[in-house]
Amino acid sequence: MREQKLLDAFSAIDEKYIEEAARANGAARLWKRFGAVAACICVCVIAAALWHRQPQPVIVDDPVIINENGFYIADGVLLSYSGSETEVVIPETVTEVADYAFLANENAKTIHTVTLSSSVQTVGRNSFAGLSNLAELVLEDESTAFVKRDNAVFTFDGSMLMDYIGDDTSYTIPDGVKYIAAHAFQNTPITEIKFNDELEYIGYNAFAGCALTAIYLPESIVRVDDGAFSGCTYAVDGYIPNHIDMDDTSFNHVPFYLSQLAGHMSPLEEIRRGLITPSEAILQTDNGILAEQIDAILYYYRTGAYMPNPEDKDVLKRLQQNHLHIELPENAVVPETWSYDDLSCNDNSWGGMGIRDVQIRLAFGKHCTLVMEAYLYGGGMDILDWNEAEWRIEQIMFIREEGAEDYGDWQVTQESDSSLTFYNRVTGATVRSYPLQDRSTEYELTFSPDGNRCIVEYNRPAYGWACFILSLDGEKFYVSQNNYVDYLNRYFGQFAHGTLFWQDNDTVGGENEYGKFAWYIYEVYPEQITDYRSDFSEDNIITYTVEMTETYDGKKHTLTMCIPECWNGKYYLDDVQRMSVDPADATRMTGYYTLYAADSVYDGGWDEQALARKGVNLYQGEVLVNTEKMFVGADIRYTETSSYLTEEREFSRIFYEAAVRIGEYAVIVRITQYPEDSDDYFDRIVLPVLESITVE
Amino acid sequence: MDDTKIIDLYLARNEDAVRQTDTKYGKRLLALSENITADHADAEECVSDTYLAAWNGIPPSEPRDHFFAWLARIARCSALDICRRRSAAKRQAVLVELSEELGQCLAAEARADRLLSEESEIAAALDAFLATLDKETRAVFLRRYFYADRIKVIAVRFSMSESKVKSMLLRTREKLRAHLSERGITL
Repeated sequence: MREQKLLDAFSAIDEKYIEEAARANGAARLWKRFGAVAACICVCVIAAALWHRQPQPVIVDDPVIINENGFYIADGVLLSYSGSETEVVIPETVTEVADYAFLANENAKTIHTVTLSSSVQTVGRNSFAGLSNLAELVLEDESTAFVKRDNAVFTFDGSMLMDYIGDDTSYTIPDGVKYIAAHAFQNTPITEIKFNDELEYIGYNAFAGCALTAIYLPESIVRVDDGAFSGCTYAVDGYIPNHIDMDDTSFNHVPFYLSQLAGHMSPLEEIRRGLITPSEAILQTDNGILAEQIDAILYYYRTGAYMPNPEDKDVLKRLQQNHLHIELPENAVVPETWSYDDLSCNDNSWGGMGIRDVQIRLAFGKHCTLVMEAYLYGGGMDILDWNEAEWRIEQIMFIREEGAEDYGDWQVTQESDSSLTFYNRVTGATVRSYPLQDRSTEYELTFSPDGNRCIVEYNRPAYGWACFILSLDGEKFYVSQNNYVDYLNRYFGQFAHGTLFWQDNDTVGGENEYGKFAWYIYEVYPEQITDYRSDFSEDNIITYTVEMTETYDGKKHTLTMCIPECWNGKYYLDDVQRMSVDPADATRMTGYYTLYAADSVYDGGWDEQALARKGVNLYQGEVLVNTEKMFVGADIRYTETSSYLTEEREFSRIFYEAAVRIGEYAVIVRITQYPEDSDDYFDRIVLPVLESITVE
Repeated sequence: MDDTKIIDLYLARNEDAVRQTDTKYGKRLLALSENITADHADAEECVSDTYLAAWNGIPPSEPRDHFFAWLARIARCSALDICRRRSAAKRQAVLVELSEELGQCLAAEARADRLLSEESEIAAALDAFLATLDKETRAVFLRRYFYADRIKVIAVRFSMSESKVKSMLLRTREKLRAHLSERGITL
């Protein structure tokens, strides 16, 4: 079988030809070759006889009409035929057949065959009307025969839509069309497309770059070529049958298409079909960011290293800095892989900040669950905004199975802007308040009858600073609440039980199987915050103004300090090291407090743990006030620049010192700035400033 | 994932290699196999065979530059084999159809200056012929005789009518026949 040998031999041809053919597509839009001619004359050859419109006059400028055996031809346009042949062969000089060309023929009913030469490129609308007995229309070259109707160009038999030529934004694929050719709708203004239910094949780049809002493919679809819907970035809704043959680029950048999901259905469609809940739908619309994050987390816990070359370096960097340092509980089993089926979802949204908060849970074995909190930023309450919103895992913690043998975990959730709920799963454990109520009447704590549930309500905005002091099983338990409740969540999640002890006068220590912890006692109370401003300037600086009042020698001393925080994301104030005065020179110290950095850069401050890992000291601003010779002044000077090397690149580091003079003594404020972009940081000096000290 | 990275996975004996290969090329290989075998289950078997061959073949092979072509060849050979193993003539329909079309390329009476019997020799002759074709014609020709695409599918892919595709293939086959006979090549 020589021909089979030849067929086999194709397997061994040069790779470059194999790949060329794999990529080859109808790059040239065939219709364009005829477009110029066809633009003014509509073509319709199918069932022309069934149309019964009145003839339209054909207008030809300065016609030179030639009568050739009954063919009236003007400039290559066949206007009419008056002959009596039953088998009409249209002369080769004809390039176009006018509308209703045969309608006036007296012998129209006897014509049963019309042959078009290959020179005929276009045929007018209803050109063959009146030929009621036309049995055959012969095309010498079928490839030049196209039908133009319904705002599009079709092959002669109507089974393939070659090109859309309309300006409308919506289009319905007519019945009978089984194939949509390569490029047919590419970059047209189409936003709505309705497919018929016979469609089988959609060609290369057929809808590429269209602003389609939805893609609903019929079940009849067999094949979608590469790039067919590529770049349809507005298509948030749709349905793609699961059995179809397609390429990895067929739905490139189509928002609802996730290769991880079977069935390729938009979340909206899944909601309609009752397959998922809206909050689950939100989870699925992260365009892979969430998936990457989970992959990165698993990778970290499997290998102890950060995932190499993550797609979204920024997201992972933040994730790593803030969260991945949490050690695995002993009985945790890191899954090798995961799928969306493994995730459970709990919508904890509390709103108010345009943040939607969803907890995603992934089992790490039977006794441990990895809980990740993902926030959807920006109008996240409206599900239709998902494409604009950014998802990221903000918080990672481990919780133990209910009924586990330990003390159980304190869960802290924020019910509203003014209330927190503390919840302990373990029967018998109690939560009691400690001086908190004495210190601020703005707080109210109520307890459930079994003592397992404690609700802290406070009347100040949630972003105010506050200090909670709680007792667990009679042990003193100190914790500070800073801007957001997740700070509490983090500590409670890890340190809801264990041994607590005084570390020193201002620090509470704690220890459990997750490690050792310590909290400073932050003695800045909400009532000391006299001003809280955001968007202080175009640099998006937030300032805290803290005022402290001390009474000494019968006089009331008020100290006001302004602490700006630059957090525009490009670079931020990374460290405020220390404010101190030479103790040897101080005649008396009356005030002492620590200003604590905010929880994270997102919240407009510093991440204590991230700084600690960099070997940077915690911000412990001590303000020492000499009450005898009070003098307010400031002298800010730039001191030195050094550089340091991180994993990625070298950064310049700048130190600023502000010396606040109080009498003969100086309060020195030292600030280290880590600009991420070294071009313009000199313009942005951010300093905490002692604004005033007054004596009444 | 880059082909190079996938090859690295194979070299590292990482089973993820097969998964990545499937993600990237699975659909295309399945389509090719299904074109030839005209049977979904058989086609899946071909694709599995292809992955097995890739797993066993890399190393020593390192097809970094033409990984897909490398896979496609294996899949195609595997599909042709499966077709021939089947007894039912009906299930060989595609094979017969393609062979008959290609039969036209072979002169009835061979001058037999050069008798080519090795597949690689015939392929070399085909390469020489393919090089003389323009890109579109070559692609259409190979979509039909390498990938075994149906005429209609080729027509959609290249925005042509079916008859155009048919005449293009016919002319190309005639050219191939002339090419082979001019050089006194026979099989």
